[in-house]
Amino acid sequence: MTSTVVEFLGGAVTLAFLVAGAFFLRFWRKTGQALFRSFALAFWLLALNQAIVSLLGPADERTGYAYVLRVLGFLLILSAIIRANLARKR
Amino acid sequence: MNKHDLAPDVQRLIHSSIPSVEALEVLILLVSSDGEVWSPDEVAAALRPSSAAVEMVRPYLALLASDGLLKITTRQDGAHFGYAPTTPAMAEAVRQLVMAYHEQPVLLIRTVYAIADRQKLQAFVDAFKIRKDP
Repeated sequence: MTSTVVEFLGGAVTLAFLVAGAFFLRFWRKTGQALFRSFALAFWLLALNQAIVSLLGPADERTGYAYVLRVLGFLLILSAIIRANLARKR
Repeated sequence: MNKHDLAPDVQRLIHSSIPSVEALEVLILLVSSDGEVWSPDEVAAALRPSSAAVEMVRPYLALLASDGLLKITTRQDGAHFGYAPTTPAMAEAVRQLVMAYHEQPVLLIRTVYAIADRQKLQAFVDAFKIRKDP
């Protein structure tokens, strides 16, 4: 029962990340703001991370490496915010 | 210029001074009244029932005046607004806007909404900036 719920939620979270990424892609195309492109890519990295974790399962020892994608996603957002702030000062 | 787009000058005018369709109606009313001055109440009454409330009209009049499109005349019963563009370029942009209002109303209203939309997204981007633009 518990593992079914975890799998179900894993799929739901993956889809939510994909949809969020698609929204940010649309905002990027509308405004041309690089921040939105970074958000889109970051959310898709989070989706990929979640998908891999769900597909491999917690018992697989490679699962831990998938979280590197999550770190990359957050670093991408962080660097985009820093760039947005620096671009304005120039 | 793509025929599915308004002229760049008109887009700039919408970007700076026309945040909504109601603001557009206010400007069109004052432009077509040919220099006549209006109080906010009169503007609200003339736009009824489409745009109604005077509280809504007031900030648009103030915005259009601060952008140099309207002239404020102070009378005993309060401020009155009349169309008086400060530069010939502004007058030309407004002329094109009025033309678009009559000839391509759907495109114009879509553009007003699209630009308002973009400004909301810009506000999202600005929220991540530590220091706001002056």
